[in-house]
Amino acid sequence: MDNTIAFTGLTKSFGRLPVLRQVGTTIGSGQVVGLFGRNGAGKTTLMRILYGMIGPDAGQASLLGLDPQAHPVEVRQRVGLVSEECHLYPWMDANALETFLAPLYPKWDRELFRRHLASMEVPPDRRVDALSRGTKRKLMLSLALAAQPEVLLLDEPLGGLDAVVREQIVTTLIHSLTDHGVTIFLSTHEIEQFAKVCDRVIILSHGGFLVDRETAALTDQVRRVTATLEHPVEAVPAHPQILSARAHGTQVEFVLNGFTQETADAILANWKVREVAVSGLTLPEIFIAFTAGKEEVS
Amino acid sequence: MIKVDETAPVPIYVQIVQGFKREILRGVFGPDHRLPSIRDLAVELKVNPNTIAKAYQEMETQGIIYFKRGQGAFVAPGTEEERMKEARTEIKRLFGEILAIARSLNLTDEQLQSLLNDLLAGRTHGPKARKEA
Repeated sequence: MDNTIAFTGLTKSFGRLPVLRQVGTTIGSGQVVGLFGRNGAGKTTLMRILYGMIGPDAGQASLLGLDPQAHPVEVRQRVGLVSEECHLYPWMDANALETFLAPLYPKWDRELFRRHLASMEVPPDRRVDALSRGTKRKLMLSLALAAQPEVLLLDEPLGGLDAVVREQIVTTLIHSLTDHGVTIFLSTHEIEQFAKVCDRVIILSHGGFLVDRETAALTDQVRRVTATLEHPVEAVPAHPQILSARAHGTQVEFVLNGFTQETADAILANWKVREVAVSGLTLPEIFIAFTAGKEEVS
Repeated sequence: MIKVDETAPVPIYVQIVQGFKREILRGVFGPDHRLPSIRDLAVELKVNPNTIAKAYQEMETQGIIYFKRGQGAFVAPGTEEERMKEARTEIKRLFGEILAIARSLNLTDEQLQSLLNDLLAGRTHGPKARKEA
C-alpha cells in the first residue's frame, strides 16, 4: 500500500498545553480523509505540521515520501494548502497573483487556473482586499489547484462560507478527484457537507484520534438501540461499547460502537424488555456520540 | 434518478446500490442499458468517485451489473423470474418497514389490514393508478 500521507507518534505542545499526543495514520493515494474535531481539538496544528509550517516535538511526518521539515520547497510544490486564514497579498488581484506564483511551481497550469476562476465565479481583476470571504477562499483553492498538487491539505475549507460557495467548492473538489486523482486530507467541524465526500473519518479529541475508520464501516457499526421496558429504570449500566446512553422512565436508549445483536442482547438482559428497535445514526450524530461531554481546551 | 441523502443513517454506497436496484425494477434501466460513468455520477451526486466505484463493485458482485472493458458498466440481463423475485424481496422489505411503524403506533393487525384494503380498493375504483414522480 502506498503512503501518500503518513505520520506516526506526532506530539506537539504549546507551552505547557499539549495539543497533539502521539497521533498517527497513513492515507493512500486518491483517498479523501476527513479530520473531524471540535474547536481546539488540534486539527489546525496537525495540518500545519504536515505542511511543514511548524515542526512536531516528537514523531515523524511524511508527504509523498518527503519530510516536510527537511524538504519544504518540494513539499510545497507538490502539496496544496487551503486554510481559513487568508495569506494572500491584499493589493494583488488574481492575475497578479498568478504572475507572481506561477514561476514557483513547475507544473503550474494557466488554463486550469482560468477554468477554476470562471467556474467558481472569481473575478480575475479585483484586488484581494475587495473580495468577500467566500471569494477569497475560492481564489485560494484555484491557486492551490493550478499548481496541480498531488495532495491537498484543507483546513476548514468551508468555515464561515454561505451555502452557494460551499457547493461550488465541493463541486470543484469532486472534479479534482475525478480528473486528477488528488489525495485530500481535510479538517472540518462541519461534517454533514463532507459526509458524501470522505472515504474515511478521523475524529480528533483532546489531541488523540478517537476514531479512524472507513465512513461506510462507521455508519454500519454504530447503532442506536431504543427499548421500552416493563419497569422504569434510573440509568443504563456502563459498558465499554456504549458511547452515550439515557434512561427516561421505561424508555432506555444507548448508542453502541461496534454493534452486534449479541452485545445489544447482553445489555438488554439487565431488564425485562417489552419492545426493542435498532436504528442507524447520521455522521453528525455519530460525531456527537463520540465527542459529547468532552470539552476541548483552547 | 439516483439520489443520496447524506443525512440518512445508511452508507452512501448502499444508498446508491438501492437506488439503482429500484430504477432497474421500475424498468428505468433495461437490460444491457449503460450506467453513467463513475466520473459523471460522482459529479452529479457530488459524491467521492471512490464511493461510486465501491457501489458499482458491489452491484457487480451481486450480479446486477456487468463491466465491458473500456466501455463502462451495464445492467445485467437477468431473467423475468429473477426480476420478480427481486421485486418481491423489495416489497417485502418495504412492508416490513411499514409494519414496524404501525406497531410502534400501536395499530392492530386488523386496522392495518383494513387500511391496506382501502388502498387496494381505492386503486381499482380510482381514476388511475397513481404515478410516482
